[in-house]
Amino acid sequence: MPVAPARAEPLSHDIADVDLVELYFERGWTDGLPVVPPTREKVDAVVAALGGDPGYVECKVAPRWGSLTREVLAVNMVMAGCRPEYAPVVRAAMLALTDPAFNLNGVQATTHVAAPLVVVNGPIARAIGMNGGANAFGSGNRANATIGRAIRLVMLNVGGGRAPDLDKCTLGNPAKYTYCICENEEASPLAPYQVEHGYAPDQSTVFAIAAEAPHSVTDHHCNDPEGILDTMCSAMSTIASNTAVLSGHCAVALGLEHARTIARHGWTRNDIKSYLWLNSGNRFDAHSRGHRYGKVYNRNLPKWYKREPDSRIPIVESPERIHLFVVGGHAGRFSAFIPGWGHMSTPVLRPIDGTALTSDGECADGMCKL
Amino acid sequence: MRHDKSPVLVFDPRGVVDLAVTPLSPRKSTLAGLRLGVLDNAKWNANKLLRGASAALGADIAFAAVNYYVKHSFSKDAAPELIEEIARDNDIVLTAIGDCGSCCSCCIRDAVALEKLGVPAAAIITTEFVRETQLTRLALGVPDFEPVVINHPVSSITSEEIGARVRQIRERAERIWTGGLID
Repeated sequence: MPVAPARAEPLSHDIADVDLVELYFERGWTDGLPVVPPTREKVDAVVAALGGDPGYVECKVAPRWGSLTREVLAVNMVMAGCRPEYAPVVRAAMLALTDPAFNLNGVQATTHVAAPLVVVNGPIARAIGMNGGANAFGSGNRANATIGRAIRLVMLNVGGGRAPDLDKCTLGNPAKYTYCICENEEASPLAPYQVEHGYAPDQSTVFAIAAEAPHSVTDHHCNDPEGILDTMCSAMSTIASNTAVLSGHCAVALGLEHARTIARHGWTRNDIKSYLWLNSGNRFDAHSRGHRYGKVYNRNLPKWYKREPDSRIPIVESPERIHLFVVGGHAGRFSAFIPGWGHMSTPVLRPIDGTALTSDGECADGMCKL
Repeated sequence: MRHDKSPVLVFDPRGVVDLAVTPLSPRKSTLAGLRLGVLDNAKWNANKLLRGASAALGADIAFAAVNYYVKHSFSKDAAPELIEEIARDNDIVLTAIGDCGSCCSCCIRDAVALEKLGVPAAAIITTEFVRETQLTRLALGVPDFEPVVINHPVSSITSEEIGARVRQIRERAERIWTGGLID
């Protein structure tokens, strides 16, 4: 399909005449923060890192369905402050977000606070200096911050997801500026996430989930898996989250101290996820408010759930729908629960730059790959 | 510091929209004898709203049939197989409810998919989502598409309030199917 390259409009011949930072604000092309004004040289360097061919359409971005050519992706990456070597990660993230299963149209338009959380695994995270350690979800790391910001700029500019028009989000969420981390694989006592899912440890992946912000889980005194995970279950077992009402998927960011205590007892990823699944959730009576506002069935929950007042309604349909990552710094007995948007969006895990999936079908827990 | 005299460039970060404008399906000259398809998006109160509206419309119009469908998720497009089935077995469609960002978008997308298969479709949205609908129909290449707009909210209202919304739907849906809204 022929698509025109990004429009590069010549202005003045004297840079002193133009305040480019203000001009990008005036055009409505920023996320509310100043952007790095793209230059021909910077854009071309990112296009080269993407494999050249600036007019190649990587994907179309809902709900505006703008064409994301490599050149347009490069423009947004430069604006976000990305280095060219981040390009494979940003591209893989956009391909994950535009996978039909992810339902980016709905994620962009929803009144809910959901934002795509992107988690990077594998050697590329280390190669480009991403942070999965102390303050991983916070500020201070260029790769985390600008990769997440580039994704958001593409969602805003190419996808047209601007509030209050095509983004109908009621409250917003700070994660709608940037929401990208890597797993702390070097310090984690567990298998990395991508290995659990059948990739080799030297393969790099992106994982994208439409999610709320991290909800802190504080547990300073439990010294065994059951105690720590019961605290996590407490955070998971609310009727207020979209995950509770609409099922789907959720994520758990297990802090290092918690992860080490749990691993010392010989627990694996599968043990952790199964325990969390079995011991979280709500009674149906809490969901239906005792039918105070009329008879409630809730068609958004799986049809095989029993709907009697005392029936347990799991927080998600199966342990596999709890996506577990080990994240954070060495000190602090904190973890986080990250509710999802609901069953309307399926998280996507995909390789970065075509690394192949090599599942042997016999490694349910991932540890055998290490 | 620049020393050359090459022009200062401004790069448009939006990318182009490869858009083909599609006309709406032909309007109906009469509604009597037609098969009405009702597509419920499973949002709270969509069922009561659509059953009330189809009953009220049925009191005025002798439909040949009223067929009721429920899609799996209000925040996702209806499955293509469901859209094809509805288009095959119905002459006009009423769908609801676009009372949230993603449900409005998907409601409009379902209706436009039906229009592209030749079936006039009336999609019910609430007042808060008029602007989103205007932009969505442009993104879908159907600038002439008109929704049925009722008062916001819907998901938390009582039976009496639903009755008032049904009255808003009745006349407007008829005009959408017959072309009474098209200039």
